[in-house]
Amino acid sequence: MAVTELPTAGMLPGGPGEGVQVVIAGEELPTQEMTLSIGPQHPSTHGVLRVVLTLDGERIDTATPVIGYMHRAFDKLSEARDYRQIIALSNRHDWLSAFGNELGVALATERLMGIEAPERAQWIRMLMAEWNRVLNHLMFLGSFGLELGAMTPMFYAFREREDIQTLMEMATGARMHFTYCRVGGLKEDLPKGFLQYSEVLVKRIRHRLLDYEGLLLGNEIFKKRTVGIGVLPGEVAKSYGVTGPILHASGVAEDSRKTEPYLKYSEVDFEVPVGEHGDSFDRFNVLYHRIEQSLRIIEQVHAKLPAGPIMPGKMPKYLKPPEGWTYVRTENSLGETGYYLVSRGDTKPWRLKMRTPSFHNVSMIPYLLKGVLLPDLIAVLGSVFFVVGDVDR
Amino acid sequence: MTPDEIAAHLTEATGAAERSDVAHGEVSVWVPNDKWVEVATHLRDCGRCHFDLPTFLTAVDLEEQGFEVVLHMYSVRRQHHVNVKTQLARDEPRLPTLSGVWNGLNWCERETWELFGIDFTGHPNQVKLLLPVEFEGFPLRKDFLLMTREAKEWPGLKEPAEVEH
Amino acid sequence: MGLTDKVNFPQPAKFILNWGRKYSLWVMNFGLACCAIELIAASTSRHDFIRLGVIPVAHGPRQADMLVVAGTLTDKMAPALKRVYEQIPEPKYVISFGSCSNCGGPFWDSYSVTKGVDQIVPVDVYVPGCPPRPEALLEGILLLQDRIGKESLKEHYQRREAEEPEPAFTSTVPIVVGGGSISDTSIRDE
Repeated sequence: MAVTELPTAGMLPGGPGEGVQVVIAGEELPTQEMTLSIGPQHPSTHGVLRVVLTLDGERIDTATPVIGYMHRAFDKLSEARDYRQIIALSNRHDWLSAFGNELGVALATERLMGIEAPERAQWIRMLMAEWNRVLNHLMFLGSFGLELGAMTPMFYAFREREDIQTLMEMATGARMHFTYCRVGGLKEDLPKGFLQYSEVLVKRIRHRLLDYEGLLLGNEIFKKRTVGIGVLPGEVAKSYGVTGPILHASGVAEDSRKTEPYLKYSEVDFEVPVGEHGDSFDRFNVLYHRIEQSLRIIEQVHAKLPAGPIMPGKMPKYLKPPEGWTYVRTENSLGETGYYLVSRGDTKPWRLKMRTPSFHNVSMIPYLLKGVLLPDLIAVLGSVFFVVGDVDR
Repeated sequence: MTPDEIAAHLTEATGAAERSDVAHGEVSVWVPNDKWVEVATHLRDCGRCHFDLPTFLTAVDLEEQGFEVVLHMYSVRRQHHVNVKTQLARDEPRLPTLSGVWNGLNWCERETWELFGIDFTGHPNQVKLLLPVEFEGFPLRKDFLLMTREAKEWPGLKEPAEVEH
Repeated sequence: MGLTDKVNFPQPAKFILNWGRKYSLWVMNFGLACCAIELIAASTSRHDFIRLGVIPVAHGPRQADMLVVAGTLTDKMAPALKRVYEQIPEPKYVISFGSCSNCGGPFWDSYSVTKGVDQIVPVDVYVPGCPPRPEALLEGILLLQDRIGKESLKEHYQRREAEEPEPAFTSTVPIVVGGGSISDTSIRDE
């Protein structure tokens, strides 16, 4: 409500039991727009995103995200690196679910070279990708609660994440940037005890997910702050190139694991949770249910994992994909991550473009934040899932 | 539609496709610069194509042959992809903007402009997106060298077997 | 700063003053990239640096004693780091967390990355790793605490004066930066 819309004389609610008498002189009070710059450093887990707002009172007129504070030039650096080195560099972009990025690079190179990874490698890759999805979504479950003022979900999320990171460390040796994927397969086979611990963790996390449901999803305050806020219609989302959980929450069930299954996704059974209204609550809800579906896939991988080698028998000493181009997309945790690879027969790519979901998710922020009240800005921005490394590459 | 059908459909519907190629199950269609917006609008409006999700728009530096701008589109309803490409001359690369056709290409074009120097005429806000304002040069062109690598050769450049001891 | 930069305190008083300072280091989280996640993991229940007195809930640089720069620093972001660093009141310490902030890390040949945070701010402790384990951060904090326990504030201030007599950002100096001015709010989209 602009200042001009206030009643010219009357009582506004003041403190308990009191009112404030307002008399406004003149018909129209001139107001000025205020420019507020949020970021790039702020005490939330968003990372270095800067949003420049113009405010009319408390209502946002325009919102301009300013990105580039984490631009580390992946495209140029990958032209100077061998394909094996690019895998190690690519996982530093969506750093919450690093394996998904590595997978895309390996799949793109394999497609150009005509190599197919062995069965066991594909199942294990799927297992790792799904555990990474759980890692990523847990982080956002925690941080969204933190931004709305609830500290406990953050600690719960990190408790779960620590367990999963211990699991990943057993197999890959790293807590965050795994570098486990190789062109043709994997670095090494799973260690003894991995699958048992993985099964234990699935049960544990499934049990602990109920905590989040109790704390947040049924919470009156949470619902009041997120239902109906930041509505994104499906058509608008598609035209911005938004993919992943945000698109699903807007009602469009586009998931490359279902439409163009890669790895072994056609042999496992899972659902794609879809929201109705496209508001912040739906986005959070979709994220919550995706974790459950990922745990379902992991259980099926446990049951169906075959024995066998994890690298094809004869790999060339130097990886030199023949001349050509290809685009490979995977359904990463935040949306569609794709690699457009142009090769000229060298050990280094001629051009490697990384298509990231967060770039497009952030590009629709000007649309989403128009007309939103400033306190709701937090609820909306927190529900747009992005990782700044993914936005800027 | 299968990749070959898409190529055939675009050739006859717009009359603008110079050539097409199907590789690894994906189709690329090359169009001339002046038909760029026309083809894009057709892709969006045609009922058989129905391309509604812009995947990416970028460029490739093909040294002597200039630049090649690549637009990749995906259709959620029909579940098919297409790559639309066009060639640009090296000295003054210019192309009309597609930000009016799909919103998501606004930022993609800004990024391509600042990294390659390709001017998208009619773009509502062609300013730097990722790079600092005072950055000079177009980094992703092949003649822009990474100075840290030029200054000193990286010790890991050779495979261990190749290093002479 | 009163007496602390002119007088060398005698040992018992110095011990107690340093003891008070080293076990109540409030940290300003400058988490930029992936290392920020390990920084947050170091503050949550399993690794918990709050038991060392380091509390991450500084409501802004003015209440902080220590700055932990975690993640890749790009040329566009460098002025923001400088500005936040200068807003922290003395005595202040900087921990550079992760190899990107130590020396540029895996992005050593990039055209947009600052190769090392010590080009912008003076660093006290470097924690190597990509990303370092949270335990490494705990060790870094312990090393810093040892150092604070032994230091004399007079020398600390003298060293600071020698390094940088005047801050780069004062209210009268216009902010001309190589990163798209932090105060430039004339940016509009569409």
